[in-house]
Amino acid sequence: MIETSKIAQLRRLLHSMEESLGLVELSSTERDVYYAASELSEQDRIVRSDDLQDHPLINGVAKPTYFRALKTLVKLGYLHHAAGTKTGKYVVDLPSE
Amino acid sequence: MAHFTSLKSNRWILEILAVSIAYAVAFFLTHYLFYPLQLKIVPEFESLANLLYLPHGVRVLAAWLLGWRSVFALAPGAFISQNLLFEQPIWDFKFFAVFLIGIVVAPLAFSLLKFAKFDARAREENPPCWQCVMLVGVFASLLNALLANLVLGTLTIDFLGYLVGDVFGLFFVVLILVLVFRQMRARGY
Repeated sequence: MIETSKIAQLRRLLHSMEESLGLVELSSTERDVYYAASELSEQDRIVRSDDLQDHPLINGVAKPTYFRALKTLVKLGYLHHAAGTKTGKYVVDLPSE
Repeated sequence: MAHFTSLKSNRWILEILAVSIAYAVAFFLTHYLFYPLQLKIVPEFESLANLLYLPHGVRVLAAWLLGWRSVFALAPGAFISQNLLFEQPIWDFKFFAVFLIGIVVAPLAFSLLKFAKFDARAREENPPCWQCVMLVGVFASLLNALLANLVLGTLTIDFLGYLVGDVFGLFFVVLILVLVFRQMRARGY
């Protein structure tokens, strides 16, 4: 399309509108998992599920809920499996990307 | 250097195509779908103004992203759409004035507001603010209505009609894009 950064800027704008209008589709657990993954990805691009489960935001979350949240985040495009893996390692996709 | 120039010209062509096509689609949806519906739903509103004018959304978002480059990106789409609808010759003063006002008004609004220390343009350093873009859209609409009414000498009811149509149009276009990007995200794009 036009230019990647322009599309990214447009997506950021639309995301800000979604947030303001309460249209963001993530539950609170999904949001926590996503925020934790985003934080961990600042140290290392590939986030390990084990490290994610140890994150303070995820500590109190039951395992089935945690894995369901992970699955939803992958399905919605917030996370994707690291290259060559089917589980356990993830890469964060920022909504603005 | 030649490669860089080629990339730049490709980007310009893509910008012109994307923005002009979006404008033309918005224009024809407005005139051939929403306007006939408006006549059925509110026939007592005796005005030529569309109460849901989608092209305003396209021109404001184009100006937000591209600045004054949006004038060139919008020009082919606006010219073709307007020409097909009104079938007036290019040398007709009113035709040309409406065309020119339509493509210039949004970047002009962004620039004037930036001059007044309200910079809502898409910049890396500016956090995304859809309310700010809507606000500039309202200002652009006021400018557009003022200039168009001066040229066409239309009535106050048209002035209000243009304003309402532009604001609803901008909001609707942004909402359509939100839904499109949500669908794309859900499908893994």
